[in-house]
Amino acid sequence: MLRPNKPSRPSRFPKKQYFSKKKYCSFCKDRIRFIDYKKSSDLGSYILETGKILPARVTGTCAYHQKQLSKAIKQARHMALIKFIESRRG
Amino acid sequence: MKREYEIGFIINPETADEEAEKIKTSITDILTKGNGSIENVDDWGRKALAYPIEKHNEGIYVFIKTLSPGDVIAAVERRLKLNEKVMRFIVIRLDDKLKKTNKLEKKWKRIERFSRKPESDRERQSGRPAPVTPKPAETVKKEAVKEEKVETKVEKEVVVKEEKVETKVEKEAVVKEEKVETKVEKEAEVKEEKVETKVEKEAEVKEEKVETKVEKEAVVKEEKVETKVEKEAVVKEEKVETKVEKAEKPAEKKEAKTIAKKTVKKEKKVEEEKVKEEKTEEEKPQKPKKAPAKKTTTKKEEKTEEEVENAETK
Repeated sequence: MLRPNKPSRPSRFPKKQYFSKKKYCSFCKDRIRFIDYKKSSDLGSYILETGKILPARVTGTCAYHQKQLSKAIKQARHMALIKFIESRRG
Repeated sequence: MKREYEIGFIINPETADEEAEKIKTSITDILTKGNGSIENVDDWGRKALAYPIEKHNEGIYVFIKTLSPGDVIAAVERRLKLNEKVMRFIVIRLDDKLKKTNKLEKKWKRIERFSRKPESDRERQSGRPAPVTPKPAETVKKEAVKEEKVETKVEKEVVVKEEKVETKVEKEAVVKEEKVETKVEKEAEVKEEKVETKVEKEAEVKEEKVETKVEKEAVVKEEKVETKVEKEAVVKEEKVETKVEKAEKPAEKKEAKTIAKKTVKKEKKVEEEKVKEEKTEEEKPQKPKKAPAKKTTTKKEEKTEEEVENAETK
């Protein structure tokens, strides 16, 4: 569904334009076939401080690797390599 | 049907190392008895847990990679469940993940193709013009240098010839005036007339040489027709002046009533020679580019001749 770009009306409250580098899947870049749950140090960058799994739209991982990632994180949690919940201060 | 599995389990840290090894060996025995092969055994030893399990902050980690049928793996799982000293265990099938990698490889190949093409294009784009561009630059520079040299040569030649022509004209004028005076005074006609005719012939010969040089230069430098035309016009105007002076001088001789007939005959000869020169000039510029420029000059000369005849009649 390609439409010609209409000249948009200038809105009263224009959206802030954020510029950032294009995201890419770091697992695809390193040519990783499957993600191992034993390497908890690699999984640490895809988890929030509270222990939540970061979404793919934030990290930029592809769907294939994101599926594997979430599974690996859950397996690592089961094997007590990663905490389920990080206790918040206060 | 053998498949690749990875079995991992955590043993209670209160158990002794010998008992932990016993558990390990019991599992490997089950695998080997059921036509399974042990590929790798990872012993991490005692390691701190991320969170306490059964009030223990430590655990003995063991990971075993095997290629074995599924029935044996089920037996192993049963054994691990029943064992009280195993706190946690996990069994993962690695075949599943390896099957799906075919899609990934296709994707990566596509990425490689797209990622390689622009690089190669850049190399080609950068490589193709690189050898081509410097050559024309050098040639252009050489051409520019040649043009500059040609221009300088032309300017020098023009300057030199103008100076020569001026000097010749002045000298001729001076010589002829002196000779006319001497003729009128002494009336020693024959020898002086010969001298005059010689001088005139020499002057004409020199002019012819100058014209031939100019024409040769024109042949060499076909591109700059306009500049040559201007030069030729300048040169011929000067010649016309000289001719007018020559025409005036014989008139003075007639008035002096020296041996006029001989001089007239010689003048006629001179005119014939001039006509021949014109013919030669007309013959030479048969080349297409120079023809228009020189026809105008020849017409000018004809006009000048008419003026000379009028002067003679007067």
